Amino acid sequence: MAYVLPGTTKASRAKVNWQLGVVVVAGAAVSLFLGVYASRHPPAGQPTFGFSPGSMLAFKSWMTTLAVFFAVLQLLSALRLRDKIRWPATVPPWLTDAHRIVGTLALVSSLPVAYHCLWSLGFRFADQPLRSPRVLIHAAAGAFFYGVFVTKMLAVRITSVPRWLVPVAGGLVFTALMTVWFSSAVYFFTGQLGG
Amino acid sequence: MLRRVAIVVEVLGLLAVAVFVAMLFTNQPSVTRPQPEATGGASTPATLSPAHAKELYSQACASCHGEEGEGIYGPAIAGESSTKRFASEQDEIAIVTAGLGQMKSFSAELTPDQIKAVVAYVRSLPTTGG
Ligand code: HEC
Repeated sequence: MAYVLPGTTKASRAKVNWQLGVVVVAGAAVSLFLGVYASRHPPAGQPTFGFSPGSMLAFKSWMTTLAVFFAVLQLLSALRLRDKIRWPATVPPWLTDAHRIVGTLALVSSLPVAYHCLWSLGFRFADQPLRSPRVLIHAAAGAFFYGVFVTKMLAVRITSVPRWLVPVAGGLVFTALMTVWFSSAVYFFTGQLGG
Repeated sequence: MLRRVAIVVEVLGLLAVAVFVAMLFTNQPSVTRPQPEATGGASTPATLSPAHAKELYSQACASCHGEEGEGIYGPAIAGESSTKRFASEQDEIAIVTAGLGQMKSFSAELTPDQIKAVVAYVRSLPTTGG
């Protein structure tokens, strides 16, 4: 079956706009949900999945790094599928499926990390004098990551969304994950966060 | 062939997301609630031994304040980080009991004696972190 690039089928303008609205609102709803949960749920304040407090951050940092590794593969395979890079010379027939698999693995490896963030730590914006912009940036990027991920997934399925939507959303997913990683795991690896 | 694998992986991924959301709402923190016979009424010296305080600290505080009290997510509270900020031990006990900002109240989870022991423990630690 030939691969249909999202945004390349013909559809009326009204339909395109309507579908664009739906996928963006769905993603925004996911980000909003995560933000509300993080600020309302009473933080459990304990490690998860049987980790000791000391090894919890190491586990989270490595899992996020794994997700970043998968995300780099995603960026490269997406660039190849869209002919932005020409290596390998012909697009391997398995590349779209590999892109789907690796993308799913990236998401799944991020879940236990996000789980500890949301369930155990949470985020209180209103009643906390923020100790560092790092925490604010990290929390916003984390919530944004899952929202724009959902937007991107829906946009891939609905092939009549505007042509620019999938690469833009995909690029934002990548940027959000890198921001999450730089505002957490990198601090951990460079010894600026205890553990 | 790979298409099949992709579909299976995606279905499993969706399942993982479902478990993730379900756990967000159903998972209850394991409470370090004191055994009634251990602390019922007046505390026995055994429950408040330094080793016990250290263990309570590891379970209840270390995930945020670090194993050495050096600060991770919550601020550093080891040694002088605590004693300089809270001249009176009582004030620090009050914060831990009532909660502060992102830190929840510990009054439901620890007895007053346990809070007192944990606070004494962090104040006795060597000062580390900033
Ligand atoms: C969920 C993570 C978390 C846990 C678990 C936690 N704390 Fe905190 N703690 C914080 C945060 C965050 C702050 C900073 C609150 C603020 O200033 O808004 C804080 C602040 C404090 C302060 C005040 C320090 C200061 O300089 O203002 C003390 C004392 C303290 N915690 C002691 C404890 C003790 C003792 C325990 C265990 C019984 C504990 N904490 C468990 C997150 C946590």
